[in-house]
Amino acid sequence: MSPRASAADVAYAILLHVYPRAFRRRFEAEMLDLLRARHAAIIRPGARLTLWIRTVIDVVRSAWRVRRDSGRSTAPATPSPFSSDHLRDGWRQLRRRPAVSAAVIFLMALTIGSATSVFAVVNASLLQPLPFRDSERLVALWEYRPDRGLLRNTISGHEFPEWQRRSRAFEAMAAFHFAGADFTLTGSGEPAPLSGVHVSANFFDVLGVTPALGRTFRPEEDTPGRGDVVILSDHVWRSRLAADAGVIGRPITLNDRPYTVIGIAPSGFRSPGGPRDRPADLWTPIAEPIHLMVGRHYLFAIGRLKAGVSLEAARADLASVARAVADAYPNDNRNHLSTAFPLRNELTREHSTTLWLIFAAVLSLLLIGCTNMASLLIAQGLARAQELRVRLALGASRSRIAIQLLTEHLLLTGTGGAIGVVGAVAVTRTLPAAIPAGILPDAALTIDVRVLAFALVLSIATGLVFGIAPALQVSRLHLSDAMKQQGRTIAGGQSKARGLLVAAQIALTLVLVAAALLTLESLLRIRLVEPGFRTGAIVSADIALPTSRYGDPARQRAFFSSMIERLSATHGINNVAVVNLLPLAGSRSTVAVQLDGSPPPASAEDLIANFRVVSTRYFQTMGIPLRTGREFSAGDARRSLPLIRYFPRQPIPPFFNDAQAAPVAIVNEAMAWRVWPGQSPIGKRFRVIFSPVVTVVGVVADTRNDAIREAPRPEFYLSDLQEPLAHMNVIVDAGGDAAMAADLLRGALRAEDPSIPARRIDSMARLISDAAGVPRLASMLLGAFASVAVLLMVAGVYSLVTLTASLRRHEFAVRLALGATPSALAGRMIRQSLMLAGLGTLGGAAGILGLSRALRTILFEVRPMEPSILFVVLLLIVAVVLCASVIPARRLRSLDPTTLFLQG
Amino acid sequence: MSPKTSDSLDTKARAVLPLTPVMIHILLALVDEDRHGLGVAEHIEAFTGGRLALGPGTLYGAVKRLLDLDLIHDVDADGEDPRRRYYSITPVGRRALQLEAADLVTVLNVARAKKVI
Repeated sequence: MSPRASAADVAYAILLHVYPRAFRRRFEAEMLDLLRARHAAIIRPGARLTLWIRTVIDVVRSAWRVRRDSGRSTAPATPSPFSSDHLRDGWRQLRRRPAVSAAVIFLMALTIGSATSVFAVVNASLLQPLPFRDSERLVALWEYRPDRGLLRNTISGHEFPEWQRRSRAFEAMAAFHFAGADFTLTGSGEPAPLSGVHVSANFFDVLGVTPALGRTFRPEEDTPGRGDVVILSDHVWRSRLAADAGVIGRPITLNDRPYTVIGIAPSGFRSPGGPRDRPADLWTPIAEPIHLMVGRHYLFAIGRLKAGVSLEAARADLASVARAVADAYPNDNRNHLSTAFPLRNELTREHSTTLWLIFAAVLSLLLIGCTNMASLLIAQGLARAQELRVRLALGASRSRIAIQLLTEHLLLTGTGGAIGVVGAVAVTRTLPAAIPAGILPDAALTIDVRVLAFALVLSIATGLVFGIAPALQVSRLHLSDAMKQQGRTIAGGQSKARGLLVAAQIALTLVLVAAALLTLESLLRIRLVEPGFRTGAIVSADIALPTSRYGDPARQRAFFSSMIERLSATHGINNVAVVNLLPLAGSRSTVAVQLDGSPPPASAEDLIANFRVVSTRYFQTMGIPLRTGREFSAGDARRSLPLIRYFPRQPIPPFFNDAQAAPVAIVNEAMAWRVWPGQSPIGKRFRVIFSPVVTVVGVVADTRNDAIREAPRPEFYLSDLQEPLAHMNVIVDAGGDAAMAADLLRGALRAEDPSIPARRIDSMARLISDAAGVPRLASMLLGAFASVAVLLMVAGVYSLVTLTASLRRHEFAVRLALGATPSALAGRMIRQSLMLAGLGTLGGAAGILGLSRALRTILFEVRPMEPSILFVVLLLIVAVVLCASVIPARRLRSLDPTTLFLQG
Repeated sequence: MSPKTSDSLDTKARAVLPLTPVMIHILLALVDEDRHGLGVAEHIEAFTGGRLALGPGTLYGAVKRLLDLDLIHDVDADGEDPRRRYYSITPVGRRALQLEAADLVTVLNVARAKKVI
């Protein structure tokens, strides 16, 4: 034998393992012999490879045939439930009971499909890593102000460079902000509003994102005067610039100024932070002397941890940096602490609890469905007891039958799971439209490997866990029992198990229903919250003036005053006003305020407050009542504009020292209370960063400022006649006709300056309702799950009672014969059902208690153990259980003892 | 052979039809003398003019089927070498081969009549 042949021997011997063991034992030697002979006959070297290929093909084809043939023979069955003959028999059995099989498959498809869909959302939103390089090293940095109760505060301009310089835990830090980041693109089609982000030069590097085309920013471009470069989003590039690669290096006109396009962001890239519903269209350098912006907290910051540095170490490092900065700037940075959180958590913080809650709910639904399935299968097993006994008598082994049954159950759950996955794929195609903006990182919902694996594990696990019990019950079948005593030996142990299953169902359903009701009530409360201003009739238009033609504050003021005049004179408009940031709009402006002339409040000498710039009729239009003092008037117009200086070296505006109206402000009640408790704030004075002293002339009622769920914060208002801005919202009250109001707004804008597009026209009601998107989705889903759960629970209780009744026929017949009345027996059954309900309720109450912590964070002004809700739920469950028991109990009443005996 | 025996032989033989081409070739190889597996393969290769070179899997898969159907049986020629197992055709196998061959003749005649060959 040539050495080559013996290596081939080994290889072939291994290949032969494809055949069944018996076949191998019998023929292996002969087959090797034949192969060796063929090898020996080869002369040409190339033919050896051909021979091997043909050998492998030969083995594969014949092995399949041999296996198939040996299955047909009465060979002993292989133990695995996945073997082909088990699967074949399983299908046959399932087809013989189409009703039950279809019911179980439907149940599994529904529950596994729902769970898979929800998991796909959870996966995309919470589990998948962010689409950035080494994204787990990215953290979001915040200022932490415990004295002000601010866990996450934006960073002030002078603070960020200090953090960058002094910290040692980070590879790099980048900052970004959205002030003055509304651009209008002109010169290629209709003027288009674009939302931008001002970023540090290393922003993309910190994230680990390289532009799809072109380059990212250079450090020198992030200096004042050199920042007229821009990176565009893929969407803008395709929709406005026709995906022309030659646009790199060429100028485009933004806000009437040329910006050179230096890069295009990768498709699907979403800038972290920023308003959820408006993805960034472009990025441009900050290009401001931010180290001079003391007290202007407008920066968001992200950092990339150095390799091997933990989050705790970074936090400690940042804490020492903040202390050092506080020492260096004692007047400005006292009590300014710092904090950092993983970026992934930050982006999902708002909704992660809700998502997990929905996920838990759908898994509960799955559990309930599985318990129903287990009940059905146990009942089916009992019905087949006769057939199974016969098979045992004919010599089938117990384990074989048990495995056979398990295979059937796995087939059921597997088929249901497969159908469920198909359904989930269909659902996830349409689902992203229904999901509120910002929950999915890139608006795409795919069924990826992890989701498929989840579905597979669920299908197999449910089949195994809930299928084993029914399969095992077979091993308790006693061959020696007389054929007619079918039910008796099984009823005892099994009905207890079934009873527990139903109690578990009831408990889970209770928790689900309670969660659904609580979420619904929370949603209603949110909608009923008084925001403090009129929402119904207000329509707003978001307008940003290009600073090229409207750089002068006087021109900005003139524009909006003219708009107000024009709209006031328009028929159909009741009230017009202007405000820079709408309340509950998702973004806010906070500044440091220094009191002047009053004793400092108890805590710090500088405080941070929200502020808005509003026109004279703002409070009237919004329906915000004036408490004391006066509102702004035309007489407040100043000649010297603007009012606020953001850094000490900012030049004082012209005409500052001329005689003119004094700077005024209006505060809300929260600010009055916080800053001047127990006194009238009228006449009190303060500075806004480096503004001249401002005098309080009026106090208005509180409104919800930022989020409907947060209590009103201290807030003050400046007049747009004293602090004009280029970017404002024009709001009109047109008595409820939103479409007409929108048209009027557009018309007025066109008349004023046709080159300026309205960035967004929306009704206030719609803006606020968008904010409730997540709770609404949650309550809808939970409501759906709870309804299905109730249905399943009813079915479960009904089937349990029915089955128990029919199994215990013999026993009941005896009791009846011995003098018990049918109603007593029925009463007994009902009592037992109620006991189950009680057990289930206890379990459910325990479950709600356990959930209450999670529920508290997402519920709004509703305590989880709200007695009214729980009472309703309890009542509901007892009613359901009673109903489900009464019908079978009634049937029991009409039983005739003699027929019972005859039926055996 | 008594009519009864030949009847039952016939019945048994018909019961296993149709046979696959490989099985027919193996039976053909064994009809004139007993051979071992290697010999069968060589013989088939020879009388098909090299056209049919059976791989071990195909050959022994068919051998197993023939053994199961009782159309051939194996004869341990000498106990020393298990690879020298001889196979021998059974009466049922012979009858089945006859029936198959007769069918093929019919097909051949029709083909000739229709000028196919």
